[in-house]
Amino acid sequence: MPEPTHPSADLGEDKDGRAVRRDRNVQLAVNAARELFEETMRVPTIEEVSIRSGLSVRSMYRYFADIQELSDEVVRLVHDEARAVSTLPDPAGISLADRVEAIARLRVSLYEVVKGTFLANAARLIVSGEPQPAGAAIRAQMLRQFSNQFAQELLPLDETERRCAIESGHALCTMEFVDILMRWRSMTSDEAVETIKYGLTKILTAV
Amino acid sequence: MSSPSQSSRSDGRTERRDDNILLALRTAQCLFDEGMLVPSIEDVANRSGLSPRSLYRYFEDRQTMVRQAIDLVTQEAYKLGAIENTGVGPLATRIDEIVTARVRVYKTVAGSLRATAALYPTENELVGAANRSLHLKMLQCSRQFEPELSCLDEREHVAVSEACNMLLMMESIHVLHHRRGLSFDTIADVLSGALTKILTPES
Repeated sequence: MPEPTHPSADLGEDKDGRAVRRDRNVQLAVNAARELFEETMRVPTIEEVSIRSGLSVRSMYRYFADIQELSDEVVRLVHDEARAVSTLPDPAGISLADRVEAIARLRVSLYEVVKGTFLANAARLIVSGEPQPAGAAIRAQMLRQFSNQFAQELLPLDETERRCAIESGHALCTMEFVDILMRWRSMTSDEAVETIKYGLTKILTAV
Repeated sequence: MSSPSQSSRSDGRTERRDDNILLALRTAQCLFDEGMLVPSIEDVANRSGLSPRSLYRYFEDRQTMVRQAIDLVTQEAYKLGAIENTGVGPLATRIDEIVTARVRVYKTVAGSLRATAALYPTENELVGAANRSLHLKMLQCSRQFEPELSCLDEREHVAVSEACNMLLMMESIHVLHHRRGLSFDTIADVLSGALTKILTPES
């Protein structure tokens, strides 16, 4: 994160101007790349980002070693935004129905934020077979959020039941599943929320 | 008019040709499973012992070869995924049948699923390739749970069948296996448990 510096010395001012231009251009490139991710659902090429952003390929390579470095930057930006919309209230005192509703809505709106990079990343993941570290951290966080929100339902279960409820319930509100509902099954956000809610309620309700 | 000896010779050629094509496609499938998703004609030649020359006679290019290998797995997956007497028997048995079938299919197609994604980089092609199998899977799922589904009102019917269908998709097994690192036995338990809860009517 660049610190704002004092525009005191002449030399400093010159440097600042360059730094500002650089930051602006980096920002332009990242935004253009993100747009392309969302439109094409795959990792764009440096050339495509150059055309979209209006920056020359030469400057692109000055700012980023390769497309991997640029897409990592996009992924970081998307993750920051995702984190900002990912919080749920303390589950204590909230009814199961309300907690189910809240997590289902949250995960569907989260999908809208991460869609482009998620899909491009998934495609790359499928092809390379290598999990992205950032994605793994987010998935672990989502699993913790699920277990935390439904701790009072999960706690009384025996080990096998609990595992089943956590794994299947968590799976139902992963990005992969929202993706299936919205892209493959062509549901609206509300329909996707309803489907997830129904499944979660059943899985979390004691028989 | 061809003499009998000529025709038998040409049959022998056809047979050898078919055997070789099958061998090449199987080899390509092994390579998918090992992580080589779009093998070249030379890769398959090296592994199978067939000459690149004959492979180029059988397949126009690597794309065609990979596509045919994927098609072959897909056809086999249909057979592996089949359930006898769909929708008949107690719920627990039917859940067990469909879960076992889907895990079995996943084991066979996992490599070629990845190859499919590698081969069809654009959204539309990928959706086209997967749509048929998605449809058949949904159909099987609604038939298998017809006794439970038919008791539900329309809104519940949609929710239950979508939830079951989702849990039984290859993507779901992929998430549980690849991302969550669960064994196939545990995956079967997790899926059966969840389906039982989703399909058991509220008392």
